[in-house]
Amino acid sequence: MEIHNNTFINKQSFKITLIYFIISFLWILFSDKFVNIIFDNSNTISYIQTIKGWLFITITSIILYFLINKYIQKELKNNQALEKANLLLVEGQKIANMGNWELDLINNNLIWSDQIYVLFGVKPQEFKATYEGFLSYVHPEDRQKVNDAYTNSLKEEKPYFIEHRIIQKNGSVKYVEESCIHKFNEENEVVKSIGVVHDITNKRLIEIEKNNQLHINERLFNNLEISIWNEDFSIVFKELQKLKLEGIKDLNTYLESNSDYLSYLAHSIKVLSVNQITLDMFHVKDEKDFITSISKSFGDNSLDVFKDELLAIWDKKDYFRAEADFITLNNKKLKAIVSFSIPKIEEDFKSIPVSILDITEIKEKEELILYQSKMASMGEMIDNIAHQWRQPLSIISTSASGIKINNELDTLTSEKIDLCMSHINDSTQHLSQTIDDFRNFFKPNKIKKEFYINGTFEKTLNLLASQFNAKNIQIIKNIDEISIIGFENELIQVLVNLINNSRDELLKKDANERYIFISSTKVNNEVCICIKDTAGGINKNIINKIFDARFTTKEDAGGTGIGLYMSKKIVVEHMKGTIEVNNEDFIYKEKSYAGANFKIKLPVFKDKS
Amino acid sequence: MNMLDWNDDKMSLGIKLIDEQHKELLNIINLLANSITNNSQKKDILTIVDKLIDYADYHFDVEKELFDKFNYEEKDHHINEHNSFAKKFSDLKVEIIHDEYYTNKSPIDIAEEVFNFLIDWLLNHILYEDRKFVDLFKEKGIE
Repeated sequence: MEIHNNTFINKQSFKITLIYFIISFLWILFSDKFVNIIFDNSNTISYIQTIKGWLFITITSIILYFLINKYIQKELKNNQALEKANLLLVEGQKIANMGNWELDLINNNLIWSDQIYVLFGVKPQEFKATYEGFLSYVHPEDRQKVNDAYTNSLKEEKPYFIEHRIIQKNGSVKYVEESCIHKFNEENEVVKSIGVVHDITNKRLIEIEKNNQLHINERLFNNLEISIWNEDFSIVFKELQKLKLEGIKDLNTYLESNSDYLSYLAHSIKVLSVNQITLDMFHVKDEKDFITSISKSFGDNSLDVFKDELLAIWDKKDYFRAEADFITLNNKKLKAIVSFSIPKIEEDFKSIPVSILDITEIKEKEELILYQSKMASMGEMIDNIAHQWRQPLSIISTSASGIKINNELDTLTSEKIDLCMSHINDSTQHLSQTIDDFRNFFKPNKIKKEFYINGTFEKTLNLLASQFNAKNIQIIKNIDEISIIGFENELIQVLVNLINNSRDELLKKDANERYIFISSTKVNNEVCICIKDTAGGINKNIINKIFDARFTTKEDAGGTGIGLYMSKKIVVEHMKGTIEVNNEDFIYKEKSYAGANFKIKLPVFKDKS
Repeated sequence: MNMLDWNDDKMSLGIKLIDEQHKELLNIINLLANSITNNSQKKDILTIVDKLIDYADYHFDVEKELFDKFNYEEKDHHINEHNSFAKKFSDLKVEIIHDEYYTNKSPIDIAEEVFNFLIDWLLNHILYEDRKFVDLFKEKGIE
C-alpha cells in the first residue's frame, strides 16, 4: 500500500517547524522586553530569565506534543480511509474485471494492480514489469497496433483508447479495452503514463457469436434453394384487428363482398428484401427493380392465395402453406408453394420471411405420371374389355355357325332358330352392359358422392370377372355394407390395380391354389378393406419399394410401375386414407398358404341419419 | 335343346358302325356348344378335348382298319386328313394346358376354335370324304 508521498511529509514537517520557530521567535522577542519593563532589578531579572527559560521549554513542548499528535491522528485517519478506499478499489477492480497500471517513464518501472495480473494470467513474481514485458503478452496480430497507439499518444501528448487482444500464459485469448493518460513535469515532459485495462472478453465473444450467427443467417438467406421474401404485414395485421373490433365474424364473406378492400390489403404488403435465388428464379438482375414491380410476378390465382393467407392470419393458425402461380420476368409460368409461420405478436408482423418453393418441374412430372397412369389403366381396361367380350362373342359366333350348319343339314327348326337367336340376343346385351360398365368407370367423377363399398366391389369384380373364371382364380368375399363419401371410380381403379396384381402373381401358381380374399369391415370410424392372395407374398427386398413411382417387376410384361404408385396417391391424397402391405401366412380350408395382404383404411363419414 | 341333331337323310352313310361313331362326334360338338354358352372353366373344356382325342383315336383306327382290309384307293389322302385332325387336337391341348398366360387365348377362345373346326370337319370330312368309301364298304358287305 502506498502512504503519503515525500512532498506531503516535507510540508507537514515544515509546518511544525515553522510554528515552533514563530512561537520561539515571538517568545524571545517579547518575553525579554516584557521582563525588562516589569523588573529592573538585575538579580530578579536573571531569576525570572531562568523561570522563563523553563516556561519556554514547557510551553513549546506542549505545543509540539499537540502538533505532532494532531498530525499523527490525522495521518492514521487518512490511512484508514485510504485502506478502505484501496480495498474498495481492489474489490471493484475484481468485479469489473478491470485493472490499472502506471508506467514511470524515467525509471521504466511498470506498476500493475492485482487485477491486471489476474487478467494477464501471470503471478507477480513471474512477470518482468516493463513495457516490453507487457507487449510480449499482447496478441501478435495486435502488437504493432498497441505499440503505435502508445508511442503516438506519447508523441502527441494525448490520451488514447484502444481495444486489443492478449494471450494469457496458458494460451487463452482475452479481449481488453485500454485507456491511458499521461502526466507531465514542470517542463511539460511526460514522466508517467497511467492507464486502465478492462476485460471485455465475455462481451466481445457474445458479439462475435452474434455476428457469426448473422453471417450464417445471411449466407443461408442467400444460398438457400428456396426463394425467400421478407414481407411487412403490419398494415394487414392492424386492418384485421380493426375488422375484429368492428364485430366482423366471417372474414371470407366480408372479403368476397369487398373486393376493393381485399386488393387494398394485398397492396399494403411491403416486400422488404428477397434473397439471391429469388432473382435467379424470376430472371431479374436487381433486387430493387424486382421489389418495385413485384406485382408483375403474381400469377392468376395470387389474390385467392392472398385471401387464404388473410383467413389463416384471421384464424390465428400457426402456419400458412398453399400452392400459387407466379410469372417470371421473361414470362414463364411458375408453380410454387408459398409458406410462412404466422407470428404470435404484432411486432413480428413487420417482417415475415415468406418462402417460395419452385415446384414447376415436380408438377410437370406429376402431371406426366398421372397421364401415363391413365393410359396404363386404359390399356389394362381395354384388355379387360377384350376378356369380357370374348365369351359373348364366342356364343354369337357359335350360334351363327349352329344356324348355318343346321340349315345345311336340313335340321333347322324354329326351336333351334329361337335358341340361337336368344343366345345372340343375350350376348349382345351382355356386350352392351360391359361397355357401359367400362364407360362409367372412365367417366371422371366430378363431385364426391356417398356410395356403398359392397356396390363398389360388385362393379370392380364385374369388370374383371371373365378373366378370373377363365383362369381358375377364385374370389372369396366377405364384404360388409358400409357407406363412404368420395370418388367411387377412383376407388374402383385402386381395387382393379390391386386385384390385377394378385391375378398376375397367382397365374404363376398352381391352378388349384389360386385364391383372392376380399373383405371390408368397419372399425371405429374407418373402413378397412383387405385384399389378400395366395401367391406366396412379396419379396422382402422389394416390399418397401412397391409403392414408388416407376417401380415394376413386370418390365417384360408391360408393367409401367405406376399402378401401385397411383393407388397410393389416390388413397392417401384423394381419399385421406392409408394403404399398406404385408406378407401373411394363413390357413384356408385346412391348407396353409402365404400371400400378400394389402390393407386400405379409409375414413367413414358420419351417417346422415 | 342340342345345337345339332342327327339327320339320317343327310348324315347317315348307311354303315351302322360308322354312323354310330359319327353320332358320337355330334354329341361332342353339342357338349362344346354348351360349354361355350355356359362359360365353362378350363378343366371342363379340357375334358371335352380329351374325349375328342380318345374318340378320334378310336374312330380313325376303325376306319383305317377297314381301309387296309379293303384296300381303299384314296386311303393315303384320307389318312392324311385324319393325321392332321389328330395333330390339331394334341396342339390345342398343349395350348389349353399352358394357359392364356403364355398363349394369350382363353379356354372359351379355344372351345370356339374347336367348335368351328369340328363343324368344318363335319361338313367337309364326314359329309364329303367319308362318302367316297361308302360304296366300296357296302360292296364288301359292311352294314
